[in-house]
Amino acid sequence: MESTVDALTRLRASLAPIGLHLPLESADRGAEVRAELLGQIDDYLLPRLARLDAPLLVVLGGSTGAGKSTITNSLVGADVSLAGVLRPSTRTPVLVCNAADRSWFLDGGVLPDLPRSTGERPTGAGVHLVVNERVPAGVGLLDAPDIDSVETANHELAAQLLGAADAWLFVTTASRYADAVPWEYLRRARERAVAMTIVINRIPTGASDEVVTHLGDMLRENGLGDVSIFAVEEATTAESPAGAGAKQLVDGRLPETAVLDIREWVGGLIASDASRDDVVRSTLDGALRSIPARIDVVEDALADQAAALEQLEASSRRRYDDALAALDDELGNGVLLRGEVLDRWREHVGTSAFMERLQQGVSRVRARIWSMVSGKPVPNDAAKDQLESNLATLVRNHADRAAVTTVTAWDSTAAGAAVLADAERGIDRPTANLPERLDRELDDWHDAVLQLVHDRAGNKLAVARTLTLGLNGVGVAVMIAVFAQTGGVTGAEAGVAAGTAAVSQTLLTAVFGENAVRDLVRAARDDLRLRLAGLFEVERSRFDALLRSHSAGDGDALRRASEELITAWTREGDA
Amino acid sequence: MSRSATPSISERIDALQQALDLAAPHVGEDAVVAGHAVVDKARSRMGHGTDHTVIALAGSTGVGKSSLFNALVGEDVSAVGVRRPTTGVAHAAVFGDGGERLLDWLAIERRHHVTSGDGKRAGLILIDLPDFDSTEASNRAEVDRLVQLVDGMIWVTDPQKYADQALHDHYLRPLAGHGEVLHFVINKIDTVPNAERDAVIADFERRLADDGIADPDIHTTSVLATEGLDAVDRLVASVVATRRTVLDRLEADVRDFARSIAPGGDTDGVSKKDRRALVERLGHAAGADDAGDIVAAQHRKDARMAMGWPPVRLLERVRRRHPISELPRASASAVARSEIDLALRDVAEAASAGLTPPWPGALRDVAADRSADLTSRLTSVTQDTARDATARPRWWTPVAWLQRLVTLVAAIGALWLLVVAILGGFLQLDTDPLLIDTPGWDWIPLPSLMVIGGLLAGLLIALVVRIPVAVAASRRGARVRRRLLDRVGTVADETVLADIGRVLSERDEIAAQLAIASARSR
Repeated sequence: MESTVDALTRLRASLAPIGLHLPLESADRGAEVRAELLGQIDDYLLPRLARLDAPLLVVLGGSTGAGKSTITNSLVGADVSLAGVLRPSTRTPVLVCNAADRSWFLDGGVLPDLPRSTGERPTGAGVHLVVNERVPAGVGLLDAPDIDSVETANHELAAQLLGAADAWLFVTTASRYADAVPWEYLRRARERAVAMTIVINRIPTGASDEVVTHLGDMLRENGLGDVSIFAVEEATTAESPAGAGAKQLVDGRLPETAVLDIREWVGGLIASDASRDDVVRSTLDGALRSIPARIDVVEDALADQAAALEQLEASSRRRYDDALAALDDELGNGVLLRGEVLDRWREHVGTSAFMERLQQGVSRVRARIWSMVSGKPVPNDAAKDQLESNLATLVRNHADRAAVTTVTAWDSTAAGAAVLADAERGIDRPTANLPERLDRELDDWHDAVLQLVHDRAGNKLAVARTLTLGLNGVGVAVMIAVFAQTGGVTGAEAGVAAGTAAVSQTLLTAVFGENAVRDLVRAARDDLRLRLAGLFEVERSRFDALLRSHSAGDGDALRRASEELITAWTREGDA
Repeated sequence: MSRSATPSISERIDALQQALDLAAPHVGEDAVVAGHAVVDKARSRMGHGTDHTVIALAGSTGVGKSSLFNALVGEDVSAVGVRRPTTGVAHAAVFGDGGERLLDWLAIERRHHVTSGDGKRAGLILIDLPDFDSTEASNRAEVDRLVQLVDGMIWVTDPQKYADQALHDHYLRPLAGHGEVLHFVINKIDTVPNAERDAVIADFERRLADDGIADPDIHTTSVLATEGLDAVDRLVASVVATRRTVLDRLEADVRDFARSIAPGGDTDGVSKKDRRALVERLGHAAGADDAGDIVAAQHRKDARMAMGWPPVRLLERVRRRHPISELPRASASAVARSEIDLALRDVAEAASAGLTPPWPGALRDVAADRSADLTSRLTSVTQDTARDATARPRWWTPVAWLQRLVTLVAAIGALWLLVVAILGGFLQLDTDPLLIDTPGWDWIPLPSLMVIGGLLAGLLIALVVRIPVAVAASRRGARVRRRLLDRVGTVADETVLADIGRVLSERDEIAAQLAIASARSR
């Protein structure tokens, strides 16, 4: 049987590697929920599960300027946290606790990634720890930074601290209580069944009843009817002109009477072991049971990411498939050899003269001698080079077009544009080494065709004929036939269709017979097609690699882990 | 573009309009739509004239916006209360006459005509906006809408809320370019001890500077204690008196947008080197290299036909048509087309190095659009050039006659021998007198010498002329290739390079118009 701690650890492990990289609508929320949940697991759930009897952490959270620090100072009757008129005043959270609980809050496991500082003044980041005897043993008061100033680092820290709290002391003011941001936190508190109370501070003198009634209504509408409200009226410093008649701050702290109720609430949390356990259990239970709903948010975001990636992948795949099909079409139509050539010049030299050279190639002796005398390559090779350079141009153009259309299509979506932002320069062009790879593939293909000819020339007569023609001659003839032959037609018809390739076709047919030639050419063609598809796959893999580096994570594992967590917790609760 | 005076608002709007028209085919649809919205808004606001100035009071919930509004109006127009949020819809106070059409345009229903006062503020329309940070999302939508339309804004905040994210990130940062028409009031200043007020103001100023608003106009008030109201009152009066706010607002709108789409980066266009590479590749696609070879082959063949050894000539005549007779027809090959496409993309990429989007894409598209046109034009260039290259050199004529002469000699000799053979062989006549000895060469009869000598001389001539013919042929081929590349260059200049140049100059013109639209005034 798996314990809650194990299940939680596993959930954390599957949550940690998730990254929501694409700028989709659901991503910001998903990332926020994920980060917060990860933080809560580390800061609160695991430490709390490890020690249910550890002191309570009460976090004072709320808007900037709501007077959290003033209330903290007033509660303990000492200036432990810096209150001030500049917003936001508190940047370093201050934790006040009884000397008895000092060691737990110093390194007891709660909020493990925040360094602690002690002494007179907070130093740098982390939590500043202050010991004060007026705080009852068994509880720590944490003054958190604000949740709504322009300092976004403050919000993140505040959210983290509130996530780690056993109980919230939520501070707002008469002019703040209808703000949108605090209500997001209040709703979050409701979802997690956190033990909470609201302090409404800075109420204009005499307006307490109206404000408290209105806030009470709003809380009820939002399903938080049982939350208690403490009203604190505006208190001013003596020198302020508006201070006349109003309550006055004493040494920057509220009068004792104003915070009496709050102190009683804090005391009530730990009045007895039963009430203490109740607070711990209910907040812990609420936090754990809120996890599936939060995981849902992350999972939805994950699903959106996966769908967007899939769409991008399909988009690039379609473009490369189209390019390959277009290339295949062009090869099938015999454009490398035949009349659809831009100009008959090219056709003449590229094909007729080429055929001439091939015919010369048939009498190999002459070709060899010519080759020796002139130092030029054997005509067969020249013919092959010509074919290959034509093919290379086609391949490069189609790879180019596929790349640029993919980039254009991706760029038109926010997700695609974000992925492309991480791409290296030149992703919209073919890879730099495409020509070399094509060369290699064509050389391999040439060898494969020769091997084919060699294998198929089963009987000795054929071998003998082949030898007089030259294995190379036959090979090149097959290669030509591949480009000349259109799908389905017989060798002879293809020969006619291909016009200038007729000679090679006739030649082949004479050596092997029509059926054998057809098979031979088909096999050679399939082989070429496969090689070209492989080349395009490598081209496209650049886009796949980009997508992979943006992949978000596994949603199924997450869901399973969260389900198992709840099962384990329910079982432990029952036991 | 140098102008002595700064452009007027209508010149700015027209310049932006022109830039948008030019940029429409190249920049994204969103930007064009947004740009037209700016132009339309500016024109319709100008249509209502500058007699009225619309100033909005904007601020968070609970900072005392409505109290300040009432104080400025001098009557209790907006509801004030401790319950939050209070103001739900925008509320206008009109000082003096008119302004109805302007308020219709702003779609503000709740209007209050201020009758009291000294008339100094006639022409002012003061608007109390709803809050933007309460739980009421519809309030925020109304603020978002009106913030785009009003002329000037007074942002009201208080010591509690002056650093709120909702204020800075959502509103002030995007309005950073509108500094001239933004004013700030920190209300409830009485809640801060006197000694610390300057620190609060300085902190607010620092936050505004972070948003991009330099030297902000900040006032402090306390409506409850009627502190600082005079200063705000004077501010409002001066805004109305100068009548600059309408123009400043629209200028800032136009300037902000113009800067957002101003083309970035720089390019020298297509360099000489890039042009040469383009022409080479287009030439290759058009078959310039092959054309050279074929013209050379044709030349050699023509030479053989004219001056070649007779037996070979005979063979040549039956064997093949002239290479040059197979002149190209206009048609397209996938290979050539591919080559052209690749060359076009490369030249567009080279020309757009250093440019920011969308210009590289614009150049790529305009170059790619020329692909089909170029293909057909290159085909005809090749045909025309090759046809021009078929004239035969003059020196061939005497050599041809010489070849004919020696052929004739050999033919006469052969005929002679034939006659001898017929007379001697068939008719058994004495043919000795016919076989005249060659003078000086007793061992060979004259007709035999004529046959052998004629044939050998012919072969010799054919072999000797081969050398100059080969040289001339390759020269001619090279010349054809060169001439072809020249013409391809002309075609490239007229088509793709002209288009690239046109787009780049359009880009320059857009930049110039946007510079007018966003020129700093004063």
